[in-house]
Amino acid sequence: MPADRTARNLLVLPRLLRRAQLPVDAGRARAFLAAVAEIDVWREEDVRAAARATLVANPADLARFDATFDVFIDLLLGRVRPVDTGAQRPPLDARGLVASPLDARGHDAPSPARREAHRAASSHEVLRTKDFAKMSSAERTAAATFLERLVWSPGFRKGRRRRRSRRGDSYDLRATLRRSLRTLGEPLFLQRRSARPRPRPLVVICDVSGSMEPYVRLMLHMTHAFTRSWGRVEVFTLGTRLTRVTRRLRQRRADAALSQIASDVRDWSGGTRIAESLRAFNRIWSRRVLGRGAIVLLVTDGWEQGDAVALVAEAERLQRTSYRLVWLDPLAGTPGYAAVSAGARALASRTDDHLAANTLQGLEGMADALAGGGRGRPVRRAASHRDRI
Amino acid sequence: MVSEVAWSSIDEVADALARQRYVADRALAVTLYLALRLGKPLFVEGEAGVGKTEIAKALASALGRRLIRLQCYEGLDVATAVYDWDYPRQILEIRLAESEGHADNARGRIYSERFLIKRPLLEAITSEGPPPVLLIDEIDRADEEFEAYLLELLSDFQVTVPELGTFRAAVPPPVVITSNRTREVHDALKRRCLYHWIDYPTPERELAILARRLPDVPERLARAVVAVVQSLRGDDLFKRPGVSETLDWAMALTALGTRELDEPTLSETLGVLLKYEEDVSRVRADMLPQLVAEAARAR
Repeated sequence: MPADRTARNLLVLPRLLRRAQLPVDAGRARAFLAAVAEIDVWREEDVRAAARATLVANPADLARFDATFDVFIDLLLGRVRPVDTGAQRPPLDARGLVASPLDARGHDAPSPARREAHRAASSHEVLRTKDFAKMSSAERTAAATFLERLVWSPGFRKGRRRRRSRRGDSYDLRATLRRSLRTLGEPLFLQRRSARPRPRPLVVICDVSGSMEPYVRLMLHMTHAFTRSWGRVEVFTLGTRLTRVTRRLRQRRADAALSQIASDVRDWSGGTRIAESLRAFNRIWSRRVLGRGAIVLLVTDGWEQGDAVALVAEAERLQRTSYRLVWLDPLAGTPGYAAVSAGARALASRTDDHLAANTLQGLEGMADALAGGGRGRPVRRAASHRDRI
Repeated sequence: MVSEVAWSSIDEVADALARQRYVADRALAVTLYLALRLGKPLFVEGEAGVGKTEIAKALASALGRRLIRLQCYEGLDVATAVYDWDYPRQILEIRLAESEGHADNARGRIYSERFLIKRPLLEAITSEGPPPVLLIDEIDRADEEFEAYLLELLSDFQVTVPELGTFRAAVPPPVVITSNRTREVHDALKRRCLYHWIDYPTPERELAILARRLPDVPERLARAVVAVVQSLRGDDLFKRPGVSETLDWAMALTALGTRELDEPTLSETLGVLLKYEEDVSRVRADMLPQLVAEAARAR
């Protein structure tokens, strides 16, 4: 370990990094000190490399690390006055600058409305078939509660790991041998193993543009319920750009999660460029989140301002790389609806399911459809059979 | 826990790797040096084809040690990664015990090291002499359960076989873990390691890599190759070419006897660099002249 004073100075760096919101704990800080003890502290480049190796574990954090390290080394070498600590704060995000529709909605449901909501929930038969866009504030709250309580199961696939089971399709030699010791080495009882079912990863890409406004909040409630009841769930919002909101939705309280998302997502209630957002998803995220046969829920009404040809290409790639691409469409449930807009037609031809998402009943139907699927090969149905729902 | 260190300075590490024709930047040399000094595994992430696996290979040959490689995949379990029992021989042994009249003694006889099949992880721990270099490749392909198992292994460098007892490494082997980020590896594993992110190399470094790995490629051609690859990486492709693609392409061009890079040659050999049809057709449709111009400027 470096001498006391040096150690104290060095430990300023983990502190600065924590302030820049990097997850640096005491264990990492200790590892950093141990690493610096092994190298020449006067070589700035080496200290930087040692700090990177011990204090960072995610490429997304590297840029922030480097900026913070610059501040640190300046402080250490007295290039700036130590009191000037404003520089290492992370840049202000959009929080507080963007009007948040979720906040407004979340707060206008005080306790009397909640009581009303419970009443409404008890009569949820009526609620089940009502279009979300036509619901009153109380009914929405009830619907949200209902969605939060639904137990989701987006389907299992056959895993590769095996465990013992009575009716397995392969033999557990180790267990068989052990068992045979009881019968004087005669393997009378064959022990079997079978593949363990694994939950499929789920990716939700939710359109938050203006035209989706009446549905977004409930869709995110549904997604929040997914996140809590399902293993691997990744959530993105789509508007004029793609934003990953997975971490936000991991909190337990739905309302807090939703209002944070509304303030994080800069293109909230704005325009829609589905093709561009999907392109960003395909380029940056698909390899990281679509492994192991993921199911993708694309929640959008298909109103595309951009290029429909590009949308076909991106949707096609997304479909190819996922196990099943489900398009949840609030418009699909409205009577007399047909996918006529260029965007909707593009999506209809490149998704595996086109399901209604404007009523609770519709969402329940989707839940059933998902729970049933998951085994076997991906369903890639012919385009002509698609718009029956 | 400090493993046996062959090098006493960071420069020595960089030199030793360079002798193995691996061009490491300073940050990697520092991290590797620290990993060896502190006896911690090196966790390497980066895009495909930037030389993650090569680090372990170069390290092993630089140290003059054996490389033990565990390629991860989904469903990887103890029986394939750590150890297994030799069941047929165990059964024969039971028969033998029976015929000798020691049937009640069979259990003790079959669970001995004689019938233990060592898989890579146990092998790395129990190997005689100087410890080998252990490469755990593409950990992101294995299941979370396997990661949890590794945690124990990497902190104590010991393996417990329930029927037999605990094996412990006399000297912990240098460990390199790589990940392609097809999923996020758990933080608990990462924090036991030193972390290094390999980026695509700068033009100068890529040129140095080419010169080291393929000394037969004329420098003019090498420059052109690097210019094209670097330019392609700046473009919005679905899959950008890695260093291994650069090397493949340079080799392909040399094999074809190319001296000057022109549009037909580039178009014909594009499949060596780009592995997605949409990328290939995009570049073919509207980037060829620009790329050839850049290649010409680089000379």
